Amino acid sequence: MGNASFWRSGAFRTAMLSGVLFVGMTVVLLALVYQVATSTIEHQISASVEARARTLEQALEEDDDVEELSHIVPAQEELFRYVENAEGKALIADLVPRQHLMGADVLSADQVLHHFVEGERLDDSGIIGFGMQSRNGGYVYVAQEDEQVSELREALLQAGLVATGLAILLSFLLGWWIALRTFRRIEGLNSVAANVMGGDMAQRMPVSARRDEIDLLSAQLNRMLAQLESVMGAIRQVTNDIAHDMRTPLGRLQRKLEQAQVKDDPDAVNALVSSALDESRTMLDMFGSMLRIAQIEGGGLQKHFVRFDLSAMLMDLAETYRPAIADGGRELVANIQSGIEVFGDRALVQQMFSNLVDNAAVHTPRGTIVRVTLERRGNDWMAKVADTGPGIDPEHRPQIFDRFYRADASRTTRGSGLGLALVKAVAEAHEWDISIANGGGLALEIRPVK
Amino acid sequence: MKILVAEDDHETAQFVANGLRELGHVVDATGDGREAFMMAGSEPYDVLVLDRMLPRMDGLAIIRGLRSMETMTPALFLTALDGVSDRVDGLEAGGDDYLVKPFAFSELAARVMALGRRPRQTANAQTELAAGGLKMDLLARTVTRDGKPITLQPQEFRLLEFLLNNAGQIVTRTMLLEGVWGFHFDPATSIVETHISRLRSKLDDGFDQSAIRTVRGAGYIIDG
Repeated sequence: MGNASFWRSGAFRTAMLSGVLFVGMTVVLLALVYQVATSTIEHQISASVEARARTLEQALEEDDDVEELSHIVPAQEELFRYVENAEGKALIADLVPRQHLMGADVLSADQVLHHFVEGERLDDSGIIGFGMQSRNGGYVYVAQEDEQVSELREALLQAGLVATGLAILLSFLLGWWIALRTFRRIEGLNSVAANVMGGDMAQRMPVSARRDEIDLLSAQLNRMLAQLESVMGAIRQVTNDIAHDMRTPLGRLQRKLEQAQVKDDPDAVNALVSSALDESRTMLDMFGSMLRIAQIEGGGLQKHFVRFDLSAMLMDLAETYRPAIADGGRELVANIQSGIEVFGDRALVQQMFSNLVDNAAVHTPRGTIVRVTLERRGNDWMAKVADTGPGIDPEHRPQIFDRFYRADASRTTRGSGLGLALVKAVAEAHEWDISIANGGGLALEIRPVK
Repeated sequence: MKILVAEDDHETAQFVANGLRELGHVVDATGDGREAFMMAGSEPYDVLVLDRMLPRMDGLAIIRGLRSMETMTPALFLTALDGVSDRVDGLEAGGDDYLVKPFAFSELAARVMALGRRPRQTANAQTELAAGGLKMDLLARTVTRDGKPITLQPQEFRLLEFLLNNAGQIVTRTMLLEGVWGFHFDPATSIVETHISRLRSKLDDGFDQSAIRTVRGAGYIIDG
């Protein structure tokens, strides 16, 4: 992981930030415990010395007998008493204040040296004391060493240091581990993305069984990649198709123009030029169809959709085609139920059905019957354009909607190979399903997707 | 006719302007949209030929502007866009016809002529059309030639109506496909030719001269 980007990664930064927060909170918490614990003990000691001081003061009021006083509050380790009678004479003096301290005090070792005359019992610890004037003019001061408090302080400090150290270490390790794990997974996504950019569209993001947000993201990206892969495949296919299918007519066009260039007979030149013009028209038609298909597949047609009478359109279409189909030695039979309305783009739906009829009328032998059917199916409808021609081999059936697919491999009949591709694009734009029905010739059925 | 050609591709503009001049029209040409708008708004043109994409002001904006100023000069859009919605957009903006590039000059010329002769929004639609001995009663839906009644199928009637509406002018195959059948594409089946031939055989039965003349490489015409 000698990777500088790891230390800059958001995961590592987040982990470190939360580590710092965690440690900070540990310190604050320990400080609180420290504060509460020490002040509680200080209060207890303070209360106990005050009680003793008051006891001594009462005893002093009655009698200034040393024995008696010493008996009431006996000498104890860590306990200091100072009792002075009304005449200013020290009766008990475990320690000697330089002046009369009043009320409760918490004094540090330094303050003790400042306020008290040095004595053998005074070591370098602080004291908690209470001083008061007795009613008969005497003075009482009782203090206790704060050794208990300082021991507790020390213990708490030690525990706090250990706990903080542990917290720092743990949060760093945990943060580092989480960051590393996240970083590695992101690295995984990165390297897949780099490979995809490098051209390997088959690569997919790793998805673990955890189903966490990164997995959801990966799964989503994988769906996107699959979509992209199929789109790129389609684009590559179309590009190849165009390159291949445009070369042929372009080659013919060039040949005809070259021939026209060397011919002297004006009639022959004219014939070649008009034939060349036909070629260029065919190519322009192909480009036009390609663009139109691309546009339909691009979507956004719905804003032009209107409700219209499909029955009337197909009846009219049948009358439009009937004479031309009859002249071509075929027959058109229309079987159209009236009053069926659809929601769609009129011009495109018209072109779709025209293409289907054209297809049945051009790519079939003479004597073929072309049937145009429109009927109700429950709440929906079904339209069918069928012919009694030779049909399509089952193995080629899935290809008939591909751009430039032509059943006639020699490509001698007229057509761009785009008619059915456009039909499919229009059907899909309307959310209609188009399928090949079984039967003698080619029969294509269109119906709304359930 | 006086025609304004607004096209920013110099070669196309020359091709269109020279072709129309050869047919005897007076042609002004410009490659700038705003200039075209000023010219069309101030001079009485018979037809405007406008490219959809023009610098400074596009064809749609020019037409919208003119129509809002009550300038109803017929306009033909030229465009490289053959989108499903492009045609609708052009007509909705107030254009009268639409031609996709690249186009044959004869196609453009026929459409410009048809637009120039178009009767200016006559309030009372005509109920009778007549030309070259043919008479069509649009209410009774009857047709006679030199007084002899002729029975036509509905589509044959529509076809003849379109030709009579444009009597004296060439009507191209594409114009018929769009005007009579509403086809904005070129079907593989020769439906125009077949319908013309059927209509002809009915009209010409018992007559020496064909009522519909074919103009080679251009289209059909009923002489007025």
